[in-house]
Amino acid sequence: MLELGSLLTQFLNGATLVSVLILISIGLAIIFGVMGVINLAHGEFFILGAYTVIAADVLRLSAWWGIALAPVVVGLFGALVEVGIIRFLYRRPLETLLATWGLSIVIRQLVRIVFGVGYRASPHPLLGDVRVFGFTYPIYRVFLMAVCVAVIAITFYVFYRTDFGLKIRAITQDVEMASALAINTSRMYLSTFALGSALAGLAGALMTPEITVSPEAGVNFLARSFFVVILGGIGQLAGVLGGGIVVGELETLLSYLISATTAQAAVLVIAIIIIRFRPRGLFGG
Amino acid sequence: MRSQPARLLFAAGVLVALALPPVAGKYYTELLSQALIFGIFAMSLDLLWGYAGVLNFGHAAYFGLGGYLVALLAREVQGFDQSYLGYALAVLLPVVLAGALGYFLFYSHVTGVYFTIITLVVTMIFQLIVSDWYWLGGMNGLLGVPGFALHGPSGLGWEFDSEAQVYYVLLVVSAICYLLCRYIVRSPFGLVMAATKDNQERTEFFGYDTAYLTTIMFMISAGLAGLSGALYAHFSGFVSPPLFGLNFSTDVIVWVAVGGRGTLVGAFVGAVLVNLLKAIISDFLAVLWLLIVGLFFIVTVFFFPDGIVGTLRRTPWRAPRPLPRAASMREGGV
Repeated sequence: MLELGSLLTQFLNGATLVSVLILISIGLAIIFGVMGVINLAHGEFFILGAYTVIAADVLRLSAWWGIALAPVVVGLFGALVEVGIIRFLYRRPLETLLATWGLSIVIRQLVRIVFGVGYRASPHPLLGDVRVFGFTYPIYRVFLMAVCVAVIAITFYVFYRTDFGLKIRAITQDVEMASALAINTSRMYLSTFALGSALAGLAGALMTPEITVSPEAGVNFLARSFFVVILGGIGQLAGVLGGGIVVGELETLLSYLISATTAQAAVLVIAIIIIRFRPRGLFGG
Repeated sequence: MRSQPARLLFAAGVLVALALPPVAGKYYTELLSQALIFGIFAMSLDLLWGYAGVLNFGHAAYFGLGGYLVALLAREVQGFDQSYLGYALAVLLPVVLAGALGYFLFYSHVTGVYFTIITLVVTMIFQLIVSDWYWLGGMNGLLGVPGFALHGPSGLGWEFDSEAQVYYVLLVVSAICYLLCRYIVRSPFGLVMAATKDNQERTEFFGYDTAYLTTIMFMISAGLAGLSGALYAHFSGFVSPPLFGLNFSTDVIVWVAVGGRGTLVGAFVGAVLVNLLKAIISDFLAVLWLLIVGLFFIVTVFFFPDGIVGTLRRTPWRAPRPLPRAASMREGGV
């Protein structure tokens, strides 16, 4: 009985990680799929979300305000980055890579200057447990998963059921044809980048109580979400779901057996091996 | 053929390098020695990035591997005093790793940006593991690596005590590494590599196995990085997880970008200049240094893609480079 309980807890921990990973990776995947831009500052957008919650706390607003504001703040910031930097580097992937890496260093350093180098914590918005099939589980994590699932569902809806999504998918397939059909591509790129950034910001804000918030926390999530995207197969949203499940659950299960760090390393090694045999992703054609 | 001013510049550079230790004093001699080691490391990155067009975002992994290997050998193996064996292994291990990665990635047609991302993660894996495993010293790293020396087989060997001696030895090692790299990029292999960088498909049509060639280049580059890591471990006396880290990996990209990608010499120019600048700036503005590095990345991409040596070579007084290469450098982007 005890075994079953801990197994269920492990599974739920995995599910929490999976849902957050998917939320981050979907932003990365959208930006990469639509614009061909690899955003190495995506992890920093994530921590900017977390620091929005902390800033809200400093301003004596509740953490809920922080979580609500984070996607707006980070989305606007992303829009600024698109207009200021990314716009000039379309279709030059390696140069975008260098520029966004530079941006990530700048953001990290600015965060250190503004918020200090150490760890920061904010008051937990939702303490307490909930009973799942007779076992207790932190209620905040359940809330976290629910929000992630909802946002992911909305994202899918936007992509596959709205005009906006139709235009984005058209651009993904053929930019020139899309702009010939009177789709304003530069505006679409702008909103895509802002949307992707906002998702990363939201993920960061939601994860604030669950992680140690430090300027360096972003890089870790960046690496995992790259693997989610590559494993899932580039250029399809559904692949991100699969990739997220594989990376998240594998990591949680392995860290049950070996140390968390080694587990993370093992997952990345496994991912590299998978790429050898399925270069287009687990779920790519 | 080098033009007259370029030759003069080169001769002046060599003279300055030879005359430096007595003039510069202890502190700057040590700083320059370290910059030479970093120069070798940067050149190994340039070999892959500048000549094969493949950017390794985790090059520090191979440097760290070399460094940790000699540190472990010296500390853990009783009576290990044959440093030549340490150096050999420090080259071999990164070569094997690069070969394995090359097999997994280049043969799966994982190239360009995808390769870059995966190398980025590889270096992070190493940093995670090294900081976590206590027998590798954990976050504190490994202290007490014996000083800089060359011990050959059968008791033959030299110890280098003064910082000037160390500097001159490193100067010679750098020169040998440079000549080796120059030989490689000008060999038929290097030419096919350049062709692969320009147009992989066409090179394959000519019957070359580009995945194989790129893997070989990657292995050479990793071996050289491992050597520089081993040199660094003996030079500084300790190794620590940041040697594997992402920041160090990006530092080396900055050095190559400052000096000029695809020039080999540029790697040394960049490593020396940036490290001097860093020593000067971070003395009074430690907070600003990383900010400057970050901004530099962005500025380079926009305004300064050829680096110092690349820009000098582009100036009118130098005879124009052969056309196909020059055109490809401009179009190929990073």
